[in-house]
Amino acid sequence: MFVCGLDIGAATTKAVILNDNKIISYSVLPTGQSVKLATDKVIDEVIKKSGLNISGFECVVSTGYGRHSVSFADRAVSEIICHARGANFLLPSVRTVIDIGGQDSKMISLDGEGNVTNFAMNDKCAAGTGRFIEVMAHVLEVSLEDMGKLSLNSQKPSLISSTCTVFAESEVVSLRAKGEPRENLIAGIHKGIASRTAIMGRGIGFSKDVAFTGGVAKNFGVKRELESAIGMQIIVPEEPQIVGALGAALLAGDGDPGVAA
Amino acid sequence: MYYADILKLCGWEEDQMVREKPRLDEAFRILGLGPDEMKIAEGRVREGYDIDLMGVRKALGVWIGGLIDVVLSKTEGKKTVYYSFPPLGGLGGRISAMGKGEILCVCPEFILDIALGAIFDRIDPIMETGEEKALPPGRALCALNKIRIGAIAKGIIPAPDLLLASSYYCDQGGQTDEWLHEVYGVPWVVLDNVMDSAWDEFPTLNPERLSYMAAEIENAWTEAAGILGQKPDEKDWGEYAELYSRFVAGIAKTNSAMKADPPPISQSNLQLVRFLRNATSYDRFADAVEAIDTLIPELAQRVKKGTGPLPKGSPRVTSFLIPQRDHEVAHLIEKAGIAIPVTFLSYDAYTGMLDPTYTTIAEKSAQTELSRGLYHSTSAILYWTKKAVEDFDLDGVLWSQPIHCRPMASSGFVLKKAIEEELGIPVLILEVDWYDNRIFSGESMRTKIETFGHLLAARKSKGKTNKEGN
Repeated sequence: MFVCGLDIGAATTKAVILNDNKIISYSVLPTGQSVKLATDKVIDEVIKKSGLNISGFECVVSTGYGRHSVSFADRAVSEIICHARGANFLLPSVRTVIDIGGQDSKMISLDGEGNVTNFAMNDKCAAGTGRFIEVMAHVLEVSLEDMGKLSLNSQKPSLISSTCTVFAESEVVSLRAKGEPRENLIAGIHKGIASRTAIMGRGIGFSKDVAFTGGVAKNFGVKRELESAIGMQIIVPEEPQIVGALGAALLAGDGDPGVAA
Repeated sequence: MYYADILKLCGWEEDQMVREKPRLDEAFRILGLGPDEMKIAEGRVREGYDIDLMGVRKALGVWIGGLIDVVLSKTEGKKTVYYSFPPLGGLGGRISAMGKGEILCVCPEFILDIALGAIFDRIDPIMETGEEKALPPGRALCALNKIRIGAIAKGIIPAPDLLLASSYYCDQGGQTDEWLHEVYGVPWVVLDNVMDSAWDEFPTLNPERLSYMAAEIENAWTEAAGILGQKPDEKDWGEYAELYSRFVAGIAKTNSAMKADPPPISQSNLQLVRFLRNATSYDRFADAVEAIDTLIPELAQRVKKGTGPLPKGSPRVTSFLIPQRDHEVAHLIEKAGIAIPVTFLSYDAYTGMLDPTYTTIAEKSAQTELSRGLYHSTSAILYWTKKAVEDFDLDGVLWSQPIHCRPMASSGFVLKKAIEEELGIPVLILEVDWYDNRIFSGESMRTKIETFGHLLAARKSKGKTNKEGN
């Protein structure tokens, strides 16, 4: 039985195909301007990658901010539920998930079966999200991929006090003009994200083990600062970007009720 | 009459429309509401409200009528008095009663928020004017006060003859009225309060605090009467108070109906009816009573049939208030399978046990208001929430946290910790502005609400399984 999970995020669209709870293939593509184009494309690609002749799915569950825009999805489920389920599948000992995506960040407490028991999510603000890092990378003329690597060379992370993305951008420009080394600025940006995420998460508490998912989890500079901020080791799955889509696919497989898409 | 369809939908009778035609024509002209706006309003009412219930339709009609009254008040020769939201129950009524219908005493921003915002979707330009004139955006300033200033500055409503400034709850109301006093020369009467009761005091009331509030109310009446050239008339007040009591009794009946599973009506609809208590003019209050009296048997019928907007067994939560400018928020919650049988401002959990030794109208009024909890303290709101959880058999709390409301901006965080620790039920804090939907992201809100609904349903079903297992 082939089932599919689709995670339509602000920055990327992800698809995972499962067969009897085994990952057959996955794909990650930029969302771009059209959810429809992105989902069509990611479905084509994930089927191609599977190397199988799949003409349809038993069930499709969509998640992410564009979850209600997928006309062929059987159900739409919030990404918080999907990330918990996906993380539990990959790392059964995990009880806390930190998910930082393109436009939001979330802290999720879960039980041993992958059910959400509590959660917190950022409000109305891009600070502490992938978008924040993207803006800063642009200002510092560094590729997103290099942000983590460069930050590891920092001896003294800069203090970025603004919590607003727009204000922080001016602050970084101003510090850069004063000759602050780029690696210190990047480390300071990571520290700021980690600090805001840790504050948000303290309301629900961090229980071991802690997993880090979403696109920002690929940035090991942020991971390092997060570990320091919460005083715990963090596990990053091999492909942290697909955890939401994987959770959606698992829910598609077990018929978990969601909201009609 | 290009507005006949929307008014009919909102419970207006044909003869009432004919009788009020010149007023309607003039008020809609001032408001800039033409045939296109009427079509938009019709769509919004059909989509957002339970128009199978005549009580809801009549309530919508009273809000529109209230809008017409305030827009035309000065041109019709009435003395106009504005009080702030949240109001002190009975204060506006007593001042209206003094003038035997010659005084229009209302909370205009609340009427505008519902009539022009929720029904016609035309409130944003008024808020923008308020921001341009006095209360700039991005500074956590109250949307209701922006509406008050914006509507006066745009000439949609008149500058009043008197302002009852409310520093008894929040400094912003008082500051807004001070601005109007300085710019338009409007006389004002200031009501003060003290918000520093001991944490564990509620529901017992500090007698000194109560007496102080009663004295402030008494003083406001006396001062207002002097400025308006009126003398308080106990007979007129008695008639109004009787109508007010009928309305409050009606609210209690709707609360009883909402204890049913499923609750018979969406909270966004019920709130629309209940809030008539807080903002309607003297002239429209009889219509408000008729609306709630119409609704009560309609709800009873649904309770009998076991019907409502959600299926039986849906998780139940309380909230302080549901954003009313945008009924979509309440519907988003309901679409996620969450019922809201009760909200803070509509359930008087402690006013049934008032101390009879307080005998004057002002003392009774002060006692009632402090017992409602809002003007008392954050601890009173917490106390109320715990009682509501018990009285309405709730599974969680979905606290809509008004980030631009100074007295309320942080109480949700105290409440979340206390409720989760003491009652062991989940609390979701949803950061919103009840009167301004420009400041939050619908998608982020949807994710939180759907997750919370899922979490509550899973807990409820697990609890049920455990009970069955036992």
